[in-house]
Amino acid sequence: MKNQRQLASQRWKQFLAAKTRMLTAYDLAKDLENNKLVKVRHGLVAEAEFRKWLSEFLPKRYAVTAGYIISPGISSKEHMVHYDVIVYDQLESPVLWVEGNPDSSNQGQSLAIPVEYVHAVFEVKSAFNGQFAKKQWTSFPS
Amino acid sequence: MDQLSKLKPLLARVDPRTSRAKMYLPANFFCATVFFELRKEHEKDFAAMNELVNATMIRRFYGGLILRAVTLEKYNSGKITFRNEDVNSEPNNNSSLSFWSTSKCLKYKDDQYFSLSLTFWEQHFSEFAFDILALLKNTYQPNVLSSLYCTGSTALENGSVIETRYADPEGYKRFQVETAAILKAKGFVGFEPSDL
Repeated sequence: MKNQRQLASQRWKQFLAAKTRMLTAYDLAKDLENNKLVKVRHGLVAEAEFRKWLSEFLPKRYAVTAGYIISPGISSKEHMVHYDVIVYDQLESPVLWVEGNPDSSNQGQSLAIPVEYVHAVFEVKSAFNGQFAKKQWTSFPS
Repeated sequence: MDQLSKLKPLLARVDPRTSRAKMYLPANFFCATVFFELRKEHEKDFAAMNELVNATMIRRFYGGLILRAVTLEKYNSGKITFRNEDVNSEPNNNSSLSFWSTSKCLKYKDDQYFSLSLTFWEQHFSEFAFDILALLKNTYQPNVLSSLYCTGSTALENGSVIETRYADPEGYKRFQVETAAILKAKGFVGFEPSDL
């Protein structure tokens, strides 16, 4: 191996094609809702595209879904939180229920996953700016 | 970060191994944020970093990724990195979020402060991807490349920068020791391997 300290490995631009694909779908969604008063579609497309890329990238042991994290320690009176992206152990975890949407593919379903099988949660947002978190963090203890 | 803040009850503790009824997220659970873009009109919105730094109080918050800054070349992505320091540093908010910035520090306990940094580079998307994999496999180490696959940039290809964050931590330590010895031989004083 020549020059081991120089780590520009092969195919790094090809790997970035996944990023380009996600952004292309996102830009298309933004264009399509350009004249709408309420613009939510590009955010949904962003979440779906990120889930799609992550599920293709990760080893098949890990599954990626939108949905709910279910714990027996949380009272059923409390509202369930819907998460954009949950990574869970597909080999071990049961799926407690599936919340389908007649207009969407399996990729758009929301699954309910038991808490002990959840490895990660990602929150996906369209734009990075100071408004995205202000309200939510005011009651979060430091 | 509406959703991440609501993870709090599930992160309050870790279930004992022997517990049959699991109520909390596993010890190796992590969370992160993904933004699709930094728009031109938000490049000076440094409040974003000071809002997001609150997420460092969530157990195993990794940081995040910004897929693109609209004013930068298409291969660049922004990496939001968690920092754990022993000094209360001032935020870096003089230039632009698309260049380099740091958030204010949150005091975690005596002489321990959490903050975030944001940098843009062509390699950050790959780093983020393989960091996720390393976090899932419990092999993640901050400031060390999680994988050598698909890491690269224009600057690395044309030789104007070198990558020092070896995927092998032992290799990285050897690099630090060798570089400190070279600097000492050239007459530079005061460089310890840990500084490099």
